[in-house]
Amino acid sequence: MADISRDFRSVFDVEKQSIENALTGLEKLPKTDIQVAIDSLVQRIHALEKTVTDKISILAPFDARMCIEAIKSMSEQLNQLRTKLIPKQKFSFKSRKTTGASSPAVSSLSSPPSATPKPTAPALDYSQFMRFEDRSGEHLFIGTLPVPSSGTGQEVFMAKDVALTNLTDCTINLVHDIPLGAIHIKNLKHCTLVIPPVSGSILLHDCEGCTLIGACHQSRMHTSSNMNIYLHVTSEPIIEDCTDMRFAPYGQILPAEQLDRLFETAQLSKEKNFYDKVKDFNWLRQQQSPNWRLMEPSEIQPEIAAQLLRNDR
Amino acid sequence: MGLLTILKKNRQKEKEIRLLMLGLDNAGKTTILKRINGEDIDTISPTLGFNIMTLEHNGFKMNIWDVGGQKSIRSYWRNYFEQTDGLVWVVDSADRLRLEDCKKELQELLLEERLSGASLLVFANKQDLPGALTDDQIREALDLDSIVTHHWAIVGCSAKTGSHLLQGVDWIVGDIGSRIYLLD
Repeated sequence: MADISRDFRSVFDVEKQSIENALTGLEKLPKTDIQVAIDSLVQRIHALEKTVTDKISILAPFDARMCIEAIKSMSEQLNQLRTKLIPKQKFSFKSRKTTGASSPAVSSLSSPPSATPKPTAPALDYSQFMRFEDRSGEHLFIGTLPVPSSGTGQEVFMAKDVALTNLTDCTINLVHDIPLGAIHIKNLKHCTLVIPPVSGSILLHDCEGCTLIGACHQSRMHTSSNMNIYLHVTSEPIIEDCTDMRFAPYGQILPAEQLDRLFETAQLSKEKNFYDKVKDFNWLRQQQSPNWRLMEPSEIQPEIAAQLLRNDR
Repeated sequence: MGLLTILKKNRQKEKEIRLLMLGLDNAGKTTILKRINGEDIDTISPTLGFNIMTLEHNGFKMNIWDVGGQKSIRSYWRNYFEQTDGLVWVVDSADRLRLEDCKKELQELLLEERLSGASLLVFANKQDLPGALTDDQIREALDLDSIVTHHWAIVGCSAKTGSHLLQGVDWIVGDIGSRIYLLD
């Protein structure tokens, strides 16, 4: 297998070198030839990429990675050259030119946007969210928020979504008798947050230095760092563009009977907890990702939730 | 016997349809797939890679490809474009914050040459959630009316309850069928 991988690399490197030479020579070409040359390079890079994808299962991981990175860098280089060498044309009506392989679909769709100035997406409507935003240094309790009405007369039974955005140095308590669905969290700095078992997902973006205690069906965390996460999750949680994430089990945040009832309302299995099966989308390998780890028993602080909840009894 | 006839015969024998299901992460793609197939949907994890399912529907053999939607793996979507008959774009109708993202990604896909012949079905998923936008609102937010390059339809559905999933699948299979197997 190592041999196959090495052989492939040598074939790959020859083509790669040839493409790179063509890329450097591109600027010297006469203007009329550039488009054709670029199109042919696009195809060659694609073809090369396809050979890698086809062989990926038999390549040594290191070789595979080198190949993929080489292709990525060639594509980027080509894109830069393309924008540099072929200035964008002003929009005008004319009979369609044959521009080679890459663009027939483009030309038929590119005109409408400017023709019909429409209002883009409807204004963000948070009326169905329970939300806290732009606060700092406060204690926030969900029991103080009005419960949004969906107009169906079944408010009590419908799970509510929560949005938390732009909070700094806050403590946030979402444990109350309202059943919650999805929790959308964005841009929290140095906050401590307790979430009861919820029937939806916890979705987190752009957070830093927070402690999060939560139970949910799915957990998706993005572009965050330095977080302590006490989690109960019934599917494998994921992180993407995150660093320094530390995970621990949810823990007994409430008296057993009360907590069981919340798990039941949220239809979460109490037995299944995948908090320790974190998947890192920036680390597609067998070895442990450097971006997350489990907390040591000595680091786990079960009293955090209890202290935070005590304020609102 | 002309070449066209041979090709047509060949295609008829198989009657295979390839559907590619894409959308932002957390849209509910895998849940839709599993719900259609009658599998358990309680323990679905975010998809790292892809799932494939084959099933028979109205005399067609459908291969549905469900590819993960996380930002870092969207660049791999194009590895799945080849020979796609139908694109199923799944939207989390309650995720208002990312509708712009969703629109952008869809518009980029529609420029893709290898998808130029594909029918487009937009699933406005999660209609069971109280905060969900309706299929009409999603149509407007994604500016679907400006699409002239593809046959398209939007269906409001809920993968969780299973409502309207079949209606969507029926449409796209019918549309592809009438296009490819026009001369049956």
